[in-house]
Amino acid sequence: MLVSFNLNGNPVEVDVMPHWSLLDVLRDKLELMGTKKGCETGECGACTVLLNGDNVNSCLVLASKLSAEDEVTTIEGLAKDALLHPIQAAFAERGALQCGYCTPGMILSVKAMLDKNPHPTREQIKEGISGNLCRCTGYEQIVEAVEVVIGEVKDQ
Amino acid sequence: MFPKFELTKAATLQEALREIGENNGTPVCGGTDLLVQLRGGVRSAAHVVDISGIAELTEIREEDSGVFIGAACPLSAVQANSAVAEHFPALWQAVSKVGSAQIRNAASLGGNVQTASPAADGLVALMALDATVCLVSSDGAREMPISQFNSGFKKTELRGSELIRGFYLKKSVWDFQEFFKIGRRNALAISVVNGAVCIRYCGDGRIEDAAIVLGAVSPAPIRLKAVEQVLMGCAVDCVDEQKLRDAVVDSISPISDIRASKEYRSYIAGVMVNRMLRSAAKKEVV
Repeated sequence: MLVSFNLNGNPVEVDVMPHWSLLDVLRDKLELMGTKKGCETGECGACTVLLNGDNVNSCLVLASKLSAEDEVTTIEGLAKDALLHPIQAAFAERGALQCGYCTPGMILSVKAMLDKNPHPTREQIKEGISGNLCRCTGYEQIVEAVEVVIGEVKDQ
Repeated sequence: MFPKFELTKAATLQEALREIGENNGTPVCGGTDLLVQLRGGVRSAAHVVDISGIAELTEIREEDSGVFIGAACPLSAVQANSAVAEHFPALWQAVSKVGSAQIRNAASLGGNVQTASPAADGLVALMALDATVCLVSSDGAREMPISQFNSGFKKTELRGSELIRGFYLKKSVWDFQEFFKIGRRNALAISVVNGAVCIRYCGDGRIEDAAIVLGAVSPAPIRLKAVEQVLMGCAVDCVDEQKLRDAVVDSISPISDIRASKEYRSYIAGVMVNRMLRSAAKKEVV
């Protein structure tokens, strides 16, 4: 079945089977590899994308239920050509990634949080990323990167 | 990858009920339980009906004496609703502790109640608040108290042709409500023990009525009437904590599983009910 939706600001049309997840469609049909496959059960957050501005686990979104009014944002949609999004730049500066596998999902969860609450407390930042597992960093640099973005911490 | 199924995106309630009643449809909202079960092979569905876009199922309607919460509202919408936050803090807290932000942007109370895990956070709070479950089918509508709807281990009284339309909660019943959750992680945790405590005081400040529901300590969330009895007539800051703890432990039958031992569950259930009472005592203005 043909499904149409907006992807990173552009309309797309894809032929999908009803039982395909948005994660599989992004990676296998649209060849956007930035969204990662982790647990496929909604427990790790590696597959996080934004759906109409809200962070969701794309492994549990059925692609066939999307419509032309839906906006999907993946990590590929954040940078403007060579210009990194401030969240991406802060992550790079603060060493908020090592293997990078959780990073696309983590950055999108941060974006969803900041778009709703531009000045979260440290506790709120931790809550905002609690749906994204990171095995490398211990989360401290990630929280600091968010504090840089919101101006709490001066970037060196 | 999920096993193959057909999908109907229902635009109206009538269409959804027809597909479910006559066309072997399995309703899906956020899919955070169903899709995981399908992927794990513990459930099968040949025809899935997406009900997440149906207006009658996604409204939250505040009335003078109560609030109706549509079964297919995303939990994040329930969390954002000021009437829920103001009148039903136990439910608000429960919903806020389900899964993660990503899960809450998709999952629903209807799904939480229909999956009917004994550890279900939403179900425990709804039980303590004595919610009415509103059911609908092509033949009509019916209602029942949620304590009757959840009729056993992961069992509900939903008929094959029915959908949960939503939940109705009466306002102004309780003076104090709180929900707690013990889990192995800050998020995305299946509750080890959870619970809701609601208290009403009489004119002289003593406890007139209480509702205490615990989850993950018996085959279904359980209302602890014997524990409520211990509280009757007491001042909230003069509760016999040992007696309360013993009554809790006597009322529950937890099991040991991969998340916790039954000994820990019994222990922490007693601790947390007492902690809820202490929280009530702090808030009570005498």
